[in-house]
Amino acid sequence: MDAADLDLFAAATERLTTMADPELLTAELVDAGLAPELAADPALAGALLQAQGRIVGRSTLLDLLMAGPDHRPGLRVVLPMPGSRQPPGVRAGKTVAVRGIALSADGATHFLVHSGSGARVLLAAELSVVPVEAWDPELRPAIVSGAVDGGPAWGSLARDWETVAELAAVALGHELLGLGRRALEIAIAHQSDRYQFGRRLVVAQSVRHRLADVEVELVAAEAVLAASGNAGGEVRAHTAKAVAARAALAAAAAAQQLCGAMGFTTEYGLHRVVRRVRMLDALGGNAEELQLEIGSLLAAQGGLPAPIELAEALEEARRA
Amino acid sequence: MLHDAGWSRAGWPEQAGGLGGSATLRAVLYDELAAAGIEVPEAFVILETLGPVLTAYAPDLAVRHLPTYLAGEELWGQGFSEPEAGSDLASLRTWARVDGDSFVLSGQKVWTTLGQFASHAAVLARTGPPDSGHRGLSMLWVDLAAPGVTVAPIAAASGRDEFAEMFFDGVRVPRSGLVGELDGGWAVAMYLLQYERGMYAWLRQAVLHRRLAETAAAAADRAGPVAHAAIGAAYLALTSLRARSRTTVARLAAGENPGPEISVDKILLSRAEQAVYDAVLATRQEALLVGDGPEETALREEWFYSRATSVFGGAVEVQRDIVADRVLRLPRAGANGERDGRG
Repeated sequence: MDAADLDLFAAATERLTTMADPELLTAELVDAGLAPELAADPALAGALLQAQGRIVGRSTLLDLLMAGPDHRPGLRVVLPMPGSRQPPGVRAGKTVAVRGIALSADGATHFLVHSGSGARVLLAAELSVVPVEAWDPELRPAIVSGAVDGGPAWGSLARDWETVAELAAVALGHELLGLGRRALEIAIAHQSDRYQFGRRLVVAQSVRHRLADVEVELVAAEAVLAASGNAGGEVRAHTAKAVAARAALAAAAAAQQLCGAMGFTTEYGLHRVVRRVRMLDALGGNAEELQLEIGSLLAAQGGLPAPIELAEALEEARRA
Repeated sequence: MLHDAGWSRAGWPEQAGGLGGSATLRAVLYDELAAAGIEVPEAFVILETLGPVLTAYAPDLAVRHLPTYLAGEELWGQGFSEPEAGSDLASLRTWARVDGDSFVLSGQKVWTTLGQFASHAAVLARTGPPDSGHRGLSMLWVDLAAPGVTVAPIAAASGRDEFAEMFFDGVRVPRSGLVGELDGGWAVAMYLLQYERGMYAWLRQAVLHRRLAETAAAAADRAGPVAHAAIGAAYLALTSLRARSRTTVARLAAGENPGPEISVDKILLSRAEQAVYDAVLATRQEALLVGDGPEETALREEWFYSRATSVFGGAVEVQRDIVADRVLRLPRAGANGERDGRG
């Protein structure tokens, strides 16, 4: 898929993820027969998630990516609780016990629950599903818990949590990058429009340097995500998410500071970006936790994994 | 050895002693050397900045000097900074006047890496009037053995003579030593900076990967969570640099001009350099702080070098200005920002 196609998809995503129904985007993708392409072409999923982040929208795209061939309308993937990186399910014999959170839990009929030894689709009606407002109510999160006996509603049992978690980490990284871009746009707009001491705020070098630093982090995140494809191992997936999350956090923090008191009003809307960034950062391990985890892993291995390939960038430049 | 086997000559023009091929061959070489655990010789760092300049702007000089450099028989220096002109390079005062078929060069340059060992230097000098700014500068290729040249090493904070200052007192430089156009030196300097922020950054990331891998190995049995966090932070910074730099190297190799966006690479390079050596220090405090062996001494020198990376080649503060002005295109004071009736 080329850059022009990706832009078209991103524009459609911006439209579809602001609507009330979180399944609109995934439904259109599935109806258009794009589910296999979505799994095969990480650039497509990345572009859609960045667009979703930029508009602070929501959809069940992450559920579609994580569930893969097991996806159906009404299915949501249960994610580990914030602060945890363990699979949300525990299997003992035929019983699966679960405690985790699901996003866009309104309208969920089934939940895909990963445990260390596989995954199972469970009926929502057989679980406790408690909607929460909390940090980011627009995501419509719910705490999903309970224990279910018996076989799955559908889908395969042999799923590897590590692989799914790595895929989710990169996906969240893309959405965080979009959110970071939005935060930077908001900060620049406010700083450019507002006058104090007889001049635009943005002419102050301290402000310009802070915005430039955010840009540098976002550009780095973009490059790392573009090189990360569908993860490529734990270290690379965690790195992609951590770099993107740090960029988004820096952008959100800069925007909160640089929008002054306006940024703290409900009406201004910046809080939506701030909430979403923190929430997505926390899912599957936040940037700080991942950074420590990566360092510990590298020390345990006594070396670094194979670095990002140079060859594919050269190919791309030759084509362009 | 690298020369005789042909490795170091790949990616340089055939007529200049190379084996031809795209500049990406050099990028691959640096990567492979680092991956194989072979130190990339320091001379390559200088080569990556001045080599492309000679090939592009002074093919005759490249034919004469590149082969001897690649064979390890010459070392070059960069004469840009002056005591009163650092990041504000266009304010430099070293000057050259045309006299017959040569230039007469006078002034002082400083911070020339390994300048005391250099045989030649690329010197940016004013050939226009004193107030000509960046328009009145020319790049000259100066034989440092010529009469009137004095080179003195400067003891660096690291304890090693890393750089030198060069004094020019009426030094005659033949007309053939002009690199690029007369009064066209700024374009040459900017071209050089593209490579310094592109290929040089790529070369350094290869070196830094090797250092961080060694640090991770050293951390395996004796480092705590603080060192692990520092290694993690370094890995993130280094991966950011590599991911970004590979697209820049590819663009340079495809003949594109990356433009002001390359300032991002320079900032990412400084961050990666410092994050990696923060991790080295966090993991090997004893070695760096109370170790007097050759390996410890080398690591200490490298730590100091990492601190300088946010200063040389255009300080990070200047790169931030460029990103703000020319990448983000933020409105500037005076454009219509100041005192336009709303203040």
